Formats: sequence, C-alpha cells, structure tokens
Amino acid sequence: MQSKNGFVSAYRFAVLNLLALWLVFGSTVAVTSLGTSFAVWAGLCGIQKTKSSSYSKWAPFFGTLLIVIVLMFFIFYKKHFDAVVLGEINPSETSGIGSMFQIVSTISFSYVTIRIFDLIRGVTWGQEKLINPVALSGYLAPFHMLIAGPISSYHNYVKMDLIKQQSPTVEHILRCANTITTGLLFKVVFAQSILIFRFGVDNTFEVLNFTDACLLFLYLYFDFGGYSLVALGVGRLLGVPTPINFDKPFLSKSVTEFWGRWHVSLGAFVKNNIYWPIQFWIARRVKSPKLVESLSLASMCASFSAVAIWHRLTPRFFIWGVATSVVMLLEKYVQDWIMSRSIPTREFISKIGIFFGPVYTLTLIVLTIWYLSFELANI
Amino acid sequence: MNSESVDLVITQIARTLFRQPDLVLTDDLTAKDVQGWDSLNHVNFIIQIEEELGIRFRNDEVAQLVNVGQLKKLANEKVQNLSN
Repeated sequence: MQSKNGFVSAYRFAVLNLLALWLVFGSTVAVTSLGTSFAVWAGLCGIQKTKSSSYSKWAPFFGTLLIVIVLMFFIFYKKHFDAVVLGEINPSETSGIGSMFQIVSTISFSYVTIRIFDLIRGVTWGQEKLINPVALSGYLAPFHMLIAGPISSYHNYVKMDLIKQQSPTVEHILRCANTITTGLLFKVVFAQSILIFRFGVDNTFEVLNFTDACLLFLYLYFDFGGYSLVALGVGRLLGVPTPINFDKPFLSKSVTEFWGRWHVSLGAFVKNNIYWPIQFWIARRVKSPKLVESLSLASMCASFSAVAIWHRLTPRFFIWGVATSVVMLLEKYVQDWIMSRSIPTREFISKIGIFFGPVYTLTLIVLTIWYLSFELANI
Repeated sequence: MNSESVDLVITQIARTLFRQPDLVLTDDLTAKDVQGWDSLNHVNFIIQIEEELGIRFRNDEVAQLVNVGQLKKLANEKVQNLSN
C-alpha cells in the first residue's frame, strides 16, 4: 500500500475536526456540521439501499431528487445570505426559516453544498461507498477548509482509510509550516496592506478606474490565495486530502487557462460534475466534431452560470458567466486555427504567447473584476 | 487485443487529435504537458478511444484519471473484461 505522511483516518480526523470546530468556531458550528452530515447521510442511505435492491434502476431518480432538494435549499439560502451581506436583511431580526439559514451560514453552506453534490454523485452514479455520518462530517465541514474551501473531493477523502499511515517527518512538518507561513504573509500582510491603503478597513471596494480594479484583483489573490495556502499546509500536516487552489494564475496565456489555475478546486468540481457530464452527453450523440465544438458553448454556459450564481444570485454575475463562456469558445476556435498551422508556426506563436498571453488574459480578467466589483464586497 | 495494441491505439488517437505525429504517451504524461489537450479535446479523446476499442468509460472513472498511465491501465482492464 502507498505510504504517505499523516496520522489520521477519516473517522479519527472527523472527531478531531468536531473538537476543532467547537473550540475555534463554537458549539453551534460543530452541532450544525454534525446535523447536516446526519441529514445527508440519511438520504444517501436510502439511495444505497435502493441500488442494492431490485429497485436499483430507481437510484438515479432518487439521487436526482436529492440533488434538487439540496439545490432548492441552497437557492433560498443564497437569496437570504446575499440579502444579509448586501444589507437588505438584518440577521438579528430573522426568524423561522431565516434563522435556519443563519445557522447553516455558520458552516459556509455554499462550500458544504458543493461537497454534498460531489458526495451524491459519487455514491449514486459512481462506486463510492458511504462512510458513517460522523466521518462524513469531517468531509462536509472540515475546520481548516470551513471558511472558504478549498473543495476537496469525496473520492479522495474516503481514500484516507486505504492509505497506510505514517508519522510525519521533520522535513514534512517544516514544508507544511512554510506553506502556512507563506499563506499568512499573503493574507495578513499583502492583502491587508492593499485593503487598508486603497479600499479602507470597511471593505467598500470602491473601484473607480482600471488601477483600482488591478489592486482589487491583487487583493483577492493574496487574500484568497493566502487563506488557501494556510488550509493546504494544515491539511497536509494532518494527512487530510486538501487540494491546491491557485496554480500560478498570473502565467495564464488565455482566459481558459486562467480558470484552470484560479480557484482550482472549484474548477475541478465544475468540470467533473457539470461540464463533462453535459459534454459527454452531447459528444456521444452528435457525430459532427465541429458541431460538438460549437455545442460545447452550452456546457460551458451551464458550468460558468453555476459558478456565477454560486458566488452571487444576481443578473450581473449571470451575465459574467455567459460572457466568460463565449470568450472561452472564441479562444477555442483560435486555438484550433493555431493547431492547424505547421509545427514551426505553432512553436513561434507559443513563444510570443508567453508574454502577450498573460497581458491579454490579465487585462480581460481585471476588466471583469471591475464589472463585478459592485457585488464583490464580502463575497 | 493485448495491452500493447491498446496502448498503440491510444497513442495513434492522441497523435491525430493533438496533431503531434511524434507525441510519445509516457505513463506520467498529463493534459497540461500537451498543447491543445483541453477539457473539450479530452472528451473527444475519451470518446474516440471508446469507439476504437469498443469500451465505455463511466464519467466518474474519467474524473479520477490523473495521467496517461491510469488511462491506459483502465482501458486495458475494460478490454480484458470484454474479451473474458
């Protein structure tokens, strides 16, 4: 069996996780994460039993039903959450279902929703086994990834129990410490410096020109990237699968490449759960490669629309999602044209793309940040 | 069909699809290492392999593939299952 650094299994991590949630975030967070886990586990138990019974053909239907239920809950939660963030609702004055939404917001329910979808897909349509609800809580609401991800896959989480555990070495601990401190440097020093000196401590993110948009972009990178590095370092120290979230996005030569390097874990979830299922469905039925390529706009639109409304349930974000899909399809046509050239021509274009590609890409990305800046506060 | 034949089929498909006649598919090769191997072409690549070898990959199997070595291993397993 493959060996790696780490000393916890899924269940042991989950118990440690509940304790960490209790100590760091309070009892409400710990109880909410455990309660959410039990609720999801109960639904999936039924689906697993259906799969192994004579009614196994109904399992996809029940899996879809469970997804729809979670999706509806998420949409209403998102509407409530966005209204609170944008100041339209006073959280202290909510009651009933609003209070329930307030409670689940304590476990960053946007991220929990994505993990629930990945879990449902893996158990219903894949071959993943359903772990016990306590161990599951460590996947759905991990303390080191609670606030803003990264989004780990269920498949990798359950593999923890299959890998031989070894005590961490000094070298490994130092590497993890380096990752954590780099993350803190990004978030606490770089991001906060930009925030304080340009946007003020009350997070207004008032973007008046292209330079402001560039600074906001840098702030987002250092803040989110820094937090993600801290999560990565802690996860690796514990031996818990924690994906990287940023893979040198400033080197991207196209918008398409950028979205494979920025918020990598969310991109992987969208690719595996939305883009590829739709695109495989299209490609297996449409024989014309050119038509398949043009129809990929549908799968890209679906993917980026999902990403958009996951961030904010607003028309502005939805327009951004659709526009990004169109840009990516145009880039695909350009790439096809490049690939049809001779190898020396392709190599020449590739060389000049090393400089001009990032200039083009980052200019477009900063412009989209500018467009979204009004709704980026407290995202 | 033996594993060498399966690997050859996969290599030929990749060379045609990514327009690199000299492309060598090592086991640790990933999509990032090959120009033009994006998400859309990955779908095309998988489907062409399915059609040539008469096999079918599940979406979750495709999602778990990390490199060419895993793709070859999975394709070979499916071909062996077909012939048994």
